[in-house]
Amino acid sequence: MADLVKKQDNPIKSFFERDGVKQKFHELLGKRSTQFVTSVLQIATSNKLLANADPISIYNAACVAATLDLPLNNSLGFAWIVPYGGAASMQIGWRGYVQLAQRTGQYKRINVVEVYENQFKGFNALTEELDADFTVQGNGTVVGYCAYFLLINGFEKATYWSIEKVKAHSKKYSKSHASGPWRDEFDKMAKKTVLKHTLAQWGILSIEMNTAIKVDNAVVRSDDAMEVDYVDVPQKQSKEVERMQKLIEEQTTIEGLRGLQKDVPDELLDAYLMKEQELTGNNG
Amino acid sequence: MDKILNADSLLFRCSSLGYIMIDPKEKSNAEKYAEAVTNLSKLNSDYEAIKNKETKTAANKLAAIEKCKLLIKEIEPVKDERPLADTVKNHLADKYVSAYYGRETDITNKYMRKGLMVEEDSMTLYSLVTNQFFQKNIKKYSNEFICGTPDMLKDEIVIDIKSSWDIFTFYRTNKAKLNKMYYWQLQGYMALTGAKSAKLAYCLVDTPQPLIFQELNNLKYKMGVTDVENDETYATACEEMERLMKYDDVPREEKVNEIIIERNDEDIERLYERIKECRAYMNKHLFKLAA
Repeated sequence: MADLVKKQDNPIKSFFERDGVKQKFHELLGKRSTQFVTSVLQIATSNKLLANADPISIYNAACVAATLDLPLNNSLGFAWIVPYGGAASMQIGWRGYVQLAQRTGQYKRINVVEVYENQFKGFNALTEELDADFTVQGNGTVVGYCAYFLLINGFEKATYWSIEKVKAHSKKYSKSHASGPWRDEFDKMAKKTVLKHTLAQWGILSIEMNTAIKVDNAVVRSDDAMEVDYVDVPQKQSKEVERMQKLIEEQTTIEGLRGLQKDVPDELLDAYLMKEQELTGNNG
Repeated sequence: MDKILNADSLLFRCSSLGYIMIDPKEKSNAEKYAEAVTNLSKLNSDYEAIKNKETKTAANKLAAIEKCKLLIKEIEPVKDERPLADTVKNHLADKYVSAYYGRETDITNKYMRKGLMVEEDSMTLYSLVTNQFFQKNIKKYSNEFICGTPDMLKDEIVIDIKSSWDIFTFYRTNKAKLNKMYYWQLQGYMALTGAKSAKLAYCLVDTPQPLIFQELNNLKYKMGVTDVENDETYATACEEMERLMKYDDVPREEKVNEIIIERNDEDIERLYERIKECRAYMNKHLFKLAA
């Protein structure tokens, strides 16, 4: 498919050949920068929509992937650059989240799996006990997804989402819930969603993990990932996120801020934690 | 779509309850009956008091008594029936067409369009002014009489947002008596959700640009402007119009006017009674046309 895009007309390639851009990737990745940029260009030029996307959005997404040290290699499934509405948006895969969690050195076990109808018996939401028989091969239809982790300090968490809950979630938070990755790679998207939710709520929130949660499903507007646009989120939901962001920004007391905690969406955890630090004077 | 064949289980939307709760301007049958009985008693006394029953006055009085008796006879069988106001009947006719023929009356206007377009902005304004996070409720509620989807529901309080068209209509809500339509709408929501109280929040937010353009276009036609670029009067009017629709200079706290409405179980009962009457009317006068 690469031949669909004429080499000489390729604005993305021209953009990535600029000295400043090359230098940026060299700062981030050192010797590996050339290989990384080549893989970005391969991805960008092999997809017609990406080839026509805003080069700066591709550059920003690539910078974030490089910062997180997540290769943009489809076969690895850590992270992707996906075209959306004339720009490049970032997608972190469930393997990417596992990778970032492992790097904290605090996870003893972490996994996310599909649960098939012949395996599933029940899930106790209070005790978080999944009654399922994973000794048998999954057969029939997938009825849900379970994410689990065990920290080295003994803290463990399991979350189970039924397939209906995943579908309702995708419908609520993604305009493209009936197309793109949600249609073509539903299981992978579902596993990512359940694991991301579990890690965001109860996992170790390292700076890299926060950044990954923030940029996931977003068009990155700056190479340091400070500005992102959730272009795929339906207007109503994006307005809700905007509303919460304004409320977080305006809080002057820690009590006021904590009153908002239960409603803070994943993509604003970063903003919430920063405000919490500001109000408690704990910047460490 | 299956046709609805009678009004027995027809649900009334909370947003339209105000229409059916309008009382007729004329006296009720019961009032007319009581008045006629009192009148008859007085006419009888007057007639008895006339010594010479052969006079023209006595004959007139007798005729009035007969007329009054006739009226009583006419009203008596329906004296306990409560006639519905014409506005109610019109609303029920629309509801019948919608239920039986699946056609809705087109009642969108610029005020409603603004309400829909800025709904989320108004909720954000309300959240910031009250320093609480609110999400739009999407759950549809219903019982055997009514149905509806309140804007927001938090801590057993129903909150309904009304986005004012402009700064003038917004400030008028400060002193105005509570709009009856909204009163009944919120009583309906409280009945459906079990909430003990409700808040009606009038919000003042900027008018979206597409609506401003529409207003400017209307202004152009109204002023008969042919040369948009060079008509200074029109340019000034446009500036004024835009100023009328944007409110950066109004302090945020002043942009919300909240009215608290307590749940009134007696009124909710009245509401259900009225719905029974409306259903009976629809079955008798409207659905019979299609039977």
